[in-house]
Amino acid sequence: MRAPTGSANEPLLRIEDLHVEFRTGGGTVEALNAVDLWIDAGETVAIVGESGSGKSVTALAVLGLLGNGRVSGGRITWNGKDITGASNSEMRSVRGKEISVIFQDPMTSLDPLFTIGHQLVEAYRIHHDVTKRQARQRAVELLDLVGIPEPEAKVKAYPHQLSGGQRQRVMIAGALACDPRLLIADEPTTALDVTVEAQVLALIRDLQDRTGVGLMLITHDMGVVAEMADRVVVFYAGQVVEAGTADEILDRPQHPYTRALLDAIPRRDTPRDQEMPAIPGAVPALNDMPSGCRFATRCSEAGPECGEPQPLRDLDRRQVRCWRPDEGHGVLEPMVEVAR
Amino acid sequence: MLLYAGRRLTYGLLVLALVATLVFLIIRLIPGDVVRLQLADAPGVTQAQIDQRTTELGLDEPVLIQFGHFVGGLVQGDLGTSFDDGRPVTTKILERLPATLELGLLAILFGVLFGVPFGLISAIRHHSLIDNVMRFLAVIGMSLPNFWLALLLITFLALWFGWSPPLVYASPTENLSQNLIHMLLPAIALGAATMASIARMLRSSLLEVLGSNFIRTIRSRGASERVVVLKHAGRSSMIPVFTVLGLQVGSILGGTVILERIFAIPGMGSLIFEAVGQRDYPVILGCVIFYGAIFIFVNVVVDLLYAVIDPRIRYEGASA
Repeated sequence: MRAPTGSANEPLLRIEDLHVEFRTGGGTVEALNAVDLWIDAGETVAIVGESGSGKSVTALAVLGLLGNGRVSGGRITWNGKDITGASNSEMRSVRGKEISVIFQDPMTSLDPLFTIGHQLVEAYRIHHDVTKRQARQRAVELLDLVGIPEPEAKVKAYPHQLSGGQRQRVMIAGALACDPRLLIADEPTTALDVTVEAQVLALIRDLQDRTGVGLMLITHDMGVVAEMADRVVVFYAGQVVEAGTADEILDRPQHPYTRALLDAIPRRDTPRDQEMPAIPGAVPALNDMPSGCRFATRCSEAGPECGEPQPLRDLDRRQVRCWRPDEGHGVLEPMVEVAR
Repeated sequence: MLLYAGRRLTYGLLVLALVATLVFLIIRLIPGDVVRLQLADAPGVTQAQIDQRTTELGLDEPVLIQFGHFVGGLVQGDLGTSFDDGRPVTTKILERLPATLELGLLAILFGVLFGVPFGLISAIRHHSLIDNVMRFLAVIGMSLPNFWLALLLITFLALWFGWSPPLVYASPTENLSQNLIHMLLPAIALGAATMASIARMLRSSLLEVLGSNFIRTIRSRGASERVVVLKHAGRSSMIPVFTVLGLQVGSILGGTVILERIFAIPGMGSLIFEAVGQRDYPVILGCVIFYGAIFIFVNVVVDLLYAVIDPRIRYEGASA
């Protein structure tokens, strides 16, 4: 399952042993610890994990938008080129043009003081030397592409005049303005209604079919994973704990955390009076990480061996950060139902 | 948009009417009366002469009637005549208005010209040495009373450079360079607090906006920092800065009263100063109404600027 290292099959994005730390009032904390993942051209990789597990930080690290954080180790390779320590001006030519991002909250992710047309024109003109008129044409095209009705009129609208779903469509339009090769969608539907969520996901998949853009889909919704992902990378407390194809991970999760996540999904056929399964305890604080397995304190299967640091081990067709999985645990029933 | 403007203007006029009423009543509470000030000290003044003068000035009538006359004149644009020299109040004020407006505008210009870049630099280099120095200076700038700052400026410039501002005022049309030299120190003294408030407000609002989601979006699309800071963050930060500026106009107008005295500038400030001394009620009232009108006008303009900057305010106004 590991991406081949030969240059012929170099993945679009490769993250190796990535460490990210943030300066805070009480010293530095490590938000990412040895993250490995890769994304091939055109494929959809879902990054899952609870809040604070480092999913968004990974995305921001790729874009070089960590703010007061910094990459303290490891390497990010984009399209065969090391962009780990790239300067802001170098990264500017990648952002929006080659790698684009859609953020979680469409209500606050557009500048309220400019029309959406203006913002799309701006997104396009950052990387294309065209007149405003030509860019405006492109803006109308983009709005049409993402399914906004009456795009000619809507370019003059301000963000506050649009619904949440429409704003997220505009965000997608802006992200796709320059035909990027990778789209990072950071919980793109968390802030939306369920019905709108389905529409937006369908739109993203449709655009992916049409443009062949790679997708890094950050989510904590296993239903979304089942529906969209080719491969899945599970994050816990700043580390990758399990990675593999979506089918493998959803059908036969090996890491206890992944299993617990899948167990926590409410189903339509769950009896009402049954308590929602939840993972006991909380994620350890970033400045107080155990040296051994980071999930051990919450793991129902933890043993004395879990006090030792757990490397991400290559198993047959997947990677797992746990010493136990090859003992052969019970296999969960397939998760395909979740998608419907 | 028009409705919004109309509503703001109506509120403004209401406030102005209230101010005029209050001042009308308050100045009559100041001890001492104008007739005694004018006549009493002269030798051989009889009670009959005092009564006659009181009647001439209309001060023998009940306060309510006096107020009625005042309002009647006001709505026709007539502010009455000065108790001192009998000339129309409007004429006296209009003679003095240009110097005050010039001083006020220069003070604002100074505040904006220095406050905006200082705020920008502070925000971009926040928590750096230069930011800390500027924030410290800003606190000082806001705390020093303008007349005290003016006296310091005069003293130290005289002490160190042997330079002092011209004593005789020249209007800009007579001698522009002498006029500007004359206005320099009072404008700086008056504008220092404005500069400090703008720098502080711009710094904090820029920092807040720069951390917001839409700025992250714009950065994620590869925009340059210049576009991010000046165009997007800058525009969003303008509303609180304009608010501060509108309020600062109030203290600048108040400051002109004493600074015009210190620097011998024949503006409205020195006019009202003299008028208070002489209990020249119509002139005091006239000046206060002019000051109030300027302040309210500026703040209506600020309200309208909000709507120009922020479409959400614009449309809220339209639908209301």
